[in-house]
Amino acid sequence: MPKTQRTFEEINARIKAGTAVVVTAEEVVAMVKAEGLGPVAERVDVVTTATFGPMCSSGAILNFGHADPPLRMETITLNDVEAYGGIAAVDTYIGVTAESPTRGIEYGGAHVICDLIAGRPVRLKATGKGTDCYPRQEVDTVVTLQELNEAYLFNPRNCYQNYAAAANTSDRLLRTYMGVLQPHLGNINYSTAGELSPLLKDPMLRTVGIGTRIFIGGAVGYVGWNGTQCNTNMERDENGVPKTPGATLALLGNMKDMDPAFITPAVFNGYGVSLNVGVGIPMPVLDEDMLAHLARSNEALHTNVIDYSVESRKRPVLARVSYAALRSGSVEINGKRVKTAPTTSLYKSRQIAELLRQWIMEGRFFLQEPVQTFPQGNAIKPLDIKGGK
Amino acid sequence: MKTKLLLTFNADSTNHPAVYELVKIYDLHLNILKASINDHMNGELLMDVEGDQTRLDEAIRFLEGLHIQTQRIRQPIRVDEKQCVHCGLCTSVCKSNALFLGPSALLGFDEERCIGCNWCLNTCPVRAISA
Repeated sequence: MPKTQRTFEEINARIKAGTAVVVTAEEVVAMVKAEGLGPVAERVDVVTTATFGPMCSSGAILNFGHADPPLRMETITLNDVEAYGGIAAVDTYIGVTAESPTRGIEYGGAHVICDLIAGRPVRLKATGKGTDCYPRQEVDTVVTLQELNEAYLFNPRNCYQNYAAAANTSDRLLRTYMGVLQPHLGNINYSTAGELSPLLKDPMLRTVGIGTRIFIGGAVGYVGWNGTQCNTNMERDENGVPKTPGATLALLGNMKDMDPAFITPAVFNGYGVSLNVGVGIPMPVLDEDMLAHLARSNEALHTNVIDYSVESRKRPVLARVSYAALRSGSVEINGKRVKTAPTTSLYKSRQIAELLRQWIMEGRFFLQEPVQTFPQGNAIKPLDIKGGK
Repeated sequence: MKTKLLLTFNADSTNHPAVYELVKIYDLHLNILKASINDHMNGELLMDVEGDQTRLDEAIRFLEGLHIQTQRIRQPIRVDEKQCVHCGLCTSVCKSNALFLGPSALLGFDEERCIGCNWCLNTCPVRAISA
C-alpha cells in the first residue's frame, strides 16, 4: 500500500467539505504512540500547535488619521509611553518594552497595546515642527482602537524554536526576562510549550514560511517574514530538532480582531515589560515524515539549561534536559534536585490549539502554503564592537 | 484554632523572649516561618500559631503589652482568577509549594501551605497576585 501523501490543496478541499480530521499536537503524540505512524498519517489531515508566552520583540503599527489642519507627528506618546516618530505622518510603531516615565515597568508599550485591544481609550500626545504641508504643531487627544485606521501587531521575533532554559550558579539572585533565578542553582525556568510548541513540531520549517496563516492573539494573522536572529544553521539532534535556539518568526495580526484572553502584558521585575502572545500554527500532515516530527513527545524533545550568571553572549550549558523532565517540576543537575517552572502557559497554549482545531473543523480557517520558505544555513552574526570600548 | 501571625518588634522589645512565653504560658504551638532583624534591632517574625482561641487572644494582648505589633494573617495572598494566565512562573519562587501547577495545567493555591513571604507578588508577570 502506498504511503500517505497529501498537499495543502487536498487538505483545504477537505476543510471546505467539512471532512478534514484535525487534532492537537498533544493528541497526535498519544495517537501515534498507540497506533503507529501509518494509520494516523492516513487518517489525520492537520495538527494544531500553539504557544502562549512572553515575546519581547513585539509591537504594533498604528495609524491615527489626520487632524485638521494636519500634523506630521515627530514625537509621540500613548498614555505617556513613547512611540516611534520617524515615519510620516500619522503612522507610528509602538514597541512592547517601552516603559512609561511615570509608571516604570508597571505600564509600558505592551499595556498600551492591550488597553487598545480591550477597547479602552488611550491618550495620544504628539508634536511636530510645523511645515507648509503639515502646519499643526501639536495634538493632545484620546483615541480608541475602533477610531484608528490601521492597528496591527508586527512582531519582529516570536515563536523561538527551542529557547534555552535558565538557571544561575552565582551567589547573587538574578532578575531576568526568564523570571527570578535563585543563586546556587536554586531553580530552573523554561519557556516553550514543549510538544505543543509550533517550531519544535516542524523543525526543518517545511510547512512554515512567508505567508503561513496563523492564530495570533485571538485573531487570524500571518507569518510576514523570518523572525530576526532566525538561526537555521545550528547543531541539530538525531531527529533534526535544533539543540540550541533556532528559527524565529515575524508575525502580523489585526488588533481589531484580537481577544484580550490571548494577549496580555507581562512584567518582569528587574528586567521590564514584555507581551504574552498567544500563537497557534496549523501544520499539514503531508506525509509520514512530517507526522513523525509532529508526533515527537516531551520525552523526545530536549533543551539546554544555560547559566545566566555568566555575563557573556556565550553562556555555558549546565545540562541538557527533556521537556518531560522540565514539566515534572524538578530535574537533577550534578546530583542536586532543582525546582523547575515555566514562563509559557501550557493551559493557554492548550486552549489555543483546541480553538484553532475548532476553527478549521468548522471551515472558518484554511491552511496557507508558504509563498516562500526561509533560507537554510542562515547563521546569526554577533555585534563586534569596533574602535571604541 | 490555627492562624498565622506577623509580629513586628522594635529595638526595645527585641531582647524579650516573647516566643518562649507564648509556648510556656499560653500553651501555643508555634512554627516559625520567617524571622528577620535589621541593623537597628527592629524585626519581623512570621509564624503559624495553633492553640486555644481564648489563650491566643490573651497572648496577642500580652504581645501588644510588650509593644510588639501583632497582625493576624488569615489569607496571605490572593490570586485573581480572571487575571491569571496560568503560566506558572509564580511557582518558581514559592518555597513552600503553596502555588503549584495542577494536572490540568491550571494554577493551584493551597492556602494552608502559604507562608506569606509575598515573593510571588512581584514575580507574577500579569500582576494577578495580591496580599
